[in-house]
Amino acid sequence: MQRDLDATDPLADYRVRTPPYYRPAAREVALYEHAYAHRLPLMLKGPTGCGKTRFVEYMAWKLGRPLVTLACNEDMSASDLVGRWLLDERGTTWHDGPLTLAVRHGGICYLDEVVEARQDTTVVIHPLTDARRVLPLDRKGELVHAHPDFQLVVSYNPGYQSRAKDMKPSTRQRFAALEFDYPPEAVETEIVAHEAGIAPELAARLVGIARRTRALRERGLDEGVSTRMLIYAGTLIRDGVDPRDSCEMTMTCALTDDPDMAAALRDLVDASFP
Amino acid sequence: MPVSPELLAAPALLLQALAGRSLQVATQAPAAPDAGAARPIVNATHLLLPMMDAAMQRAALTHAAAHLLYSRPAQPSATLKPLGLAVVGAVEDARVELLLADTLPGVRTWFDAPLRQVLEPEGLSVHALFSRLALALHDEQYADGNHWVDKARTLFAAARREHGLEDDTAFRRLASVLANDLGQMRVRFDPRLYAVPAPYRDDNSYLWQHGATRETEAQPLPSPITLQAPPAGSTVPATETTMPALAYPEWDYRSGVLRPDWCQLYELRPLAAVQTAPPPAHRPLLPLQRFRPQHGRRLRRQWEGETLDLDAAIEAAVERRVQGTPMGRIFQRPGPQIQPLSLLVLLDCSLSTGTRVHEQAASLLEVEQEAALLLARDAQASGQRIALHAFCSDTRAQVRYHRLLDFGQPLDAQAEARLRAVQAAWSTRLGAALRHATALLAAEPAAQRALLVLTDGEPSDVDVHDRRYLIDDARVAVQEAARLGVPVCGLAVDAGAADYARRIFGSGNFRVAEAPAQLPRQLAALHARLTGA
Repeated sequence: MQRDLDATDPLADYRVRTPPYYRPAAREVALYEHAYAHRLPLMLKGPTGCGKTRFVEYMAWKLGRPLVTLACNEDMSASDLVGRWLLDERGTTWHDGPLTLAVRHGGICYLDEVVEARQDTTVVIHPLTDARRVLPLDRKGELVHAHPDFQLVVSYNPGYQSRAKDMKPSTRQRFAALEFDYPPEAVETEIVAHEAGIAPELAARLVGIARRTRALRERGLDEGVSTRMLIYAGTLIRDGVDPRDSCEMTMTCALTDDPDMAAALRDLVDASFP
Repeated sequence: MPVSPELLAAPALLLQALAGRSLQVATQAPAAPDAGAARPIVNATHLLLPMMDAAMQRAALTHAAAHLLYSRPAQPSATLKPLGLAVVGAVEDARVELLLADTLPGVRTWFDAPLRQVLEPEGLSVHALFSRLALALHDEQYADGNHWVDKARTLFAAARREHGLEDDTAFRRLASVLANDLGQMRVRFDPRLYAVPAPYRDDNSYLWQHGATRETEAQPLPSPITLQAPPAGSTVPATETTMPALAYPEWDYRSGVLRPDWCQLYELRPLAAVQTAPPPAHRPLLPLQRFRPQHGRRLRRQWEGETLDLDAAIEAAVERRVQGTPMGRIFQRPGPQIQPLSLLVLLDCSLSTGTRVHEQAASLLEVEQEAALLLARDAQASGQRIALHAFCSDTRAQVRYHRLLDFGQPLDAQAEARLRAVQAAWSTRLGAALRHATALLAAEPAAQRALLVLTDGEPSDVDVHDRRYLIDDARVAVQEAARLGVPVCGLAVDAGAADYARRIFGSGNFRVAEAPAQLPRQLAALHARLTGA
């Protein structure tokens, strides 16, 4: 395990040291391992707060690979991904961007919410995601051949993006995809109980509320209550906050501004917490 | 406080969340004074509520949700007398409420107050006995003392212990024992005057099928919805010129072919402003969200700007170090707005959009008109191009298409009057109208084009009896439009729209409004999606 102990490991900061909690909901762990074995680029899609990011952290830990995460945004340029020349006392120095770091040294590069980045930015990943597995750094005049351990993972949420932000078909096609959804009821209860540190009965009640709100998608809610929101709600309750106040704060107010919808959500919480 | 007579949005949402099914929730027309007490009615499509306050409404829809979740609908009632039906209904009411309270303990308190309100603790009339029975089964602490009520409670508890609440046959058996006892007690029962004591409980017509045939079974109960009477002497074509018919194809999913020139579409243009009565006064609509300033592209390598363009600045510094001439273009700033959107809003003005729940309530068409006007004003104010068109159809030979406001036309009083003058008529042949709207949009120069459909139900026409046919045709029309670079979004004011709307517009490209009052907000949300704000 020389690479873990190497003090000059350029990706040392990106290593996942402690095992992240992840409760598999289906066969996603085995499927990911198969994809990684062949270094297939992966796309994780699913609603907000259902565990995509946690899953990647867990897999990075399980496979012993460093994880370079980048939250994509509109103003991100290709330089932010691949790197740029910077000035220091000795002159100009090339600084690898996070993507280049992962490509050079064999990490998993995770582009979170990839559709938020502009389409002309995302095309820099094209040569990495086919058989070539190279990253041309045109400003530096270098062609980086990907480290054998390098893998690219992107995530996106098909639910709420505006039409202007769909992925280019030519980008999409390069990925194998794993679809995520909120886990089955029993699993979600287990997750909420574990993460928030609350009793399973209380967790089950919170999960019950969430599952009912998810029936309101497309009826005024863009998305129902996520697993992450449930963990927030449970954490506050464990802290001694009244369950109804906690739900009001972490679910009702957080989800909607519509008075009708808020009234319905509030009643739903009241129904679960008398 | 009496509620305003209209489709109720918040209760419909709660019902959807509780039962996982969508029903329209509406108020019933006030009952005649000599009729028996009005009770909620549940059927396949609607929950109809009598006048009641908000807490009672909440109890009523929760009770209805319990039936939807746990009751077996439309059981044959053949062997049961009216008294038997009432007892079975009362036991079933208690059973489903307890089942729901098992998962959602908070609902118990919602039922508690109304059950106590109607309690007649001493009486032996059928009304009194049923009110005592309801409370006894609901509340274990309540001490009654009547032999029949106590027996009911004992049998109920035994059935619950031995069979569990899910097993409705055990409860059906004990109900017939209880009904038999009541008969022996010679309690007077008049089915015409009897209404279940608690006002939030429905009349249980949901449970029974009274020897009905298959055809009548599917019929919804008479709803309190009345048709909008067309104003006297106003025929639409009198004020319009008709363009020559345009032929559009239609998709036949059974044979998988696009039938060429299948539909005749007539474009109608109003000659002049139409004099109309001012629109009936009703609740003002929610204002559309103001458009947020759009994030344009960032222009890099500018002579001036708000922030440094890091890459350009570094290059400039490098140039200076190597004694070159640095370029001064080292700033970045937000670029001009994204090209303006050309949006065509297509309004469904089929006959059903003219229905109103109540005389004073706005019909869906009126709400559509108001919402479209607000949208058009806002869109024009923010420099977008917008057109408002409407359509209806009377068989494939007659699809009518009104161009109320065209791209580039000012939204003046005339345009408003034209929009308000549209009458609800005929059916919804969406596909042909979509194809025509797409063709019109194709002439628009802007790179950003979009089509937004407002409708109140699935496509239908009098000459089509296969539900799937027009839905699939509309879906094909939407896909054709998308291929031509015109994305299509839909907004359906119909609680049951999710399935067909997803089929037509595709996942994520549609919204469902529970009630007309929700329409402006949903419209604003869809518009935001289209503009990418």
